[in-house]
Amino acid sequence: MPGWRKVPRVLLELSHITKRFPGVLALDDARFALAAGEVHALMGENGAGKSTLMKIASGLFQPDAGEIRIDGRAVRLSGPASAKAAGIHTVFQELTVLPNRSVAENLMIGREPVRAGGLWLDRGALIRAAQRILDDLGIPLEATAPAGRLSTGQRQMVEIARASAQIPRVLILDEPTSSLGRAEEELLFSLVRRLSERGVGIIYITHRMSEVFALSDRITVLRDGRYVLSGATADLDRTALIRAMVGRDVAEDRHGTADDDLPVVLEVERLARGTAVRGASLSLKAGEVLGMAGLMGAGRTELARLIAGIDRPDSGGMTLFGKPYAPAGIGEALARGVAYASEDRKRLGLVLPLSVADNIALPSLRRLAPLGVIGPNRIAGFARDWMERLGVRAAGPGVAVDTLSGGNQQKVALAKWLATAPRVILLDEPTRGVDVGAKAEIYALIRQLATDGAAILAISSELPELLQISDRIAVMAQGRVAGILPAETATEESLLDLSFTEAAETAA
Amino acid sequence: MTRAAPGVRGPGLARLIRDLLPYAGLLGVIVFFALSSEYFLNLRNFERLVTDSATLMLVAFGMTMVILLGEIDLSVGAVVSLLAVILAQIMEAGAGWPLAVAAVLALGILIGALNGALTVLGDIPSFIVTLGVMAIATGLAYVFTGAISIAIMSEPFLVLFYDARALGLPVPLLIVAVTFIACLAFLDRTVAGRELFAVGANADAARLSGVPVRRRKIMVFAIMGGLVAMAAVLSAARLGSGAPASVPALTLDAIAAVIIGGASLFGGRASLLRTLMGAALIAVLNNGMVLMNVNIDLQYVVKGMIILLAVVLERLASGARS
Repeated sequence: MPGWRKVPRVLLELSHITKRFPGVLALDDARFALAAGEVHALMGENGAGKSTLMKIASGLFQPDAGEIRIDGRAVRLSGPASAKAAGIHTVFQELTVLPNRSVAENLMIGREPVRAGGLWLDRGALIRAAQRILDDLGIPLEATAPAGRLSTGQRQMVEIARASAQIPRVLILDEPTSSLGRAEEELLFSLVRRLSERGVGIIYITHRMSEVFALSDRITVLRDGRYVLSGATADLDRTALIRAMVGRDVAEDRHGTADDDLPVVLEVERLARGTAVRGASLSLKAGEVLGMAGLMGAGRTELARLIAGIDRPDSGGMTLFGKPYAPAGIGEALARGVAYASEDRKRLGLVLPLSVADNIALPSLRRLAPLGVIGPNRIAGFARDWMERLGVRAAGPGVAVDTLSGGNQQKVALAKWLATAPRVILLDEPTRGVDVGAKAEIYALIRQLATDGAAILAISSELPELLQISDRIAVMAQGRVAGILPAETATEESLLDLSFTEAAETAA
Repeated sequence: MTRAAPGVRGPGLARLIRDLLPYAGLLGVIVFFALSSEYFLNLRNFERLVTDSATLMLVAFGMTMVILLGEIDLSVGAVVSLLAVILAQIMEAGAGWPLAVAAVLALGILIGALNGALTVLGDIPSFIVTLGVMAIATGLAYVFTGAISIAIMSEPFLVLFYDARALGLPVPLLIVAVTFIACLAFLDRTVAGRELFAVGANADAARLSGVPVRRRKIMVFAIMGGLVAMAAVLSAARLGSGAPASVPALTLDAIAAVIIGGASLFGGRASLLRTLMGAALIAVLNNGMVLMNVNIDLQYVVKGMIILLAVVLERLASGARS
């Protein structure tokens, strides 16, 4: 059969996949096809449905509708085990390497060579088998090394080797390079190429454009849970990809007007911490909403935590109202007028079983009661005042927060920080998990706070939201502020384009 | 005292039973012993019951705050014995009782703070830390005494902390009442007290709200230590001596009182008033079972079953999510 290699054999095919979560349509008639031996990049904005689709392919989620075919035969992946049995292996971002075991034990887990009818573990054979797998894949690791001493990148190699050893047909890599160094990245790329040469179909989720072009054969783009396009990498360029990822008509009303004359309140200079924040600079102005865009893992939350005094930077500095600002803790940041409302309302924002009053008053207690004594009526009165200002709908200040709706919980989470009378307000995903009505109210509130003179940093993964509430929009990419655009002229495309800025480009 | 409705979800019936348990249980055992023993329902016995339970009450109040934080202190019984021994020895050495009491109070607070500091700074579960301290305290009490009890000769001490009356009430009862009101005021009306509820229910959120979580924990363990020391003073006065293992059931009883009071062992929910009821229930049980000549070992069995019942109820009531 001449030229049979030219026609790619479809290995895995997902078609008409729909998946609904409470309140969200994560996938809407999405499709994806993977050929044997190809490296296929899956791209899309935050929340486009990439991870959900891959969790369906690896058996973690069941689709509400749609079909999965392997080698043309319809299958049902009832769980991770059944996906593995079908040859689909996944390396997720959260690594599952056991730090107290050796590389060999991690590699061979569940498949340890045994002797005497399964009673004795054959340690020698275990180590030899593991080392053979490592050498075969060109991974420079000792099978006897304790996994706890490996770097994140090396642990990732172990994960991939573990999947490879089980002779995968499909290997899914979810943002494999997000925490790797340059050398480790190279190693990973050659590992990926080696596996694809052996006929393994590789699905590669990444936020790095350069990797997509360097490594992939084909690209599929998802947007809002729907399939947008699929094509050979050679036929696509960066602009085409970004247009495909955004692709909506933007006609939202915008409030923002960037004003150069506003006084600078907070100056952030080259802040860095670990691998998440790598020299971010920006300035916040009184009376202005600075929106902040960026892909997952761009370091936005981590930067906000540094400003809020939750974490300490490794290097870089800040100036607040013209004075040096290096908060030793949240208490100091609060005292200097900086407040941070977390994106994780249930875990970090609120104390759910406590009352609305106790939640709203919690960060303000010290200010309200310098001597440390405060009556319940005072707390309730203080809270009632803030509930009214933000329009929190609850039977009273004594009601437990976990009985409120998402929108009202979010208002309580904002009220608790606004009640501290902050002059710099850091809002991390202020409308996450909130219905449309409450969203509009929160937008109005944010604009009002700016009008009243506060300096606001609003982190959001929804570009239309940023365009609507911001005056200027900073875009973070790989731990740096890649650029700041006036909201009036910014577009989803220009913001997304900046989001894909890579380290080499910003460093220049 | 939480004004915030605790764990609102969960099966209503189990929650109702949990919330009524300390009151209904107390009433139940009182009625039961009143009917079963002719000696139970008289003023003299009641006064003895109250004085005898003062040690338990003080420790249970402290335990309420510790459990509110989602921690536990297993060392209380052993430390009460150790401090009682030290108290007796200081007085035996010729020092006056005020000095001895002051020294023991300071030492109690120090041991408590140490429990807290090891838990918080060493990031070790308080269960393990206080288990270790329990063993050390028990061992030291035996080492110091050679396993015999040391009699307390100071007449004024014995009178003041056991027999004396003020305002017509026995002094131990007064001490318990004052401590109760102080703890209530602390939890309900001070910044630090309010913060404890947040720390217990969600330490991460509390930390992000500027609450010094570690300092609060050490503080509560130190308060617990102070209450343990006061309990040791009352216990020594009642027994007229300091001896190792003098209060073998105290730790169990104190934890039982808090749990019968409907507190969550995961932290964030506890009530002093209901602990008071729980402790009273245990005290009546102790007193009544002695009156009825129930075998001491069987007493443990009864109390153990009550604890398990209370815990199961608490889990059902907070809707033990499957």
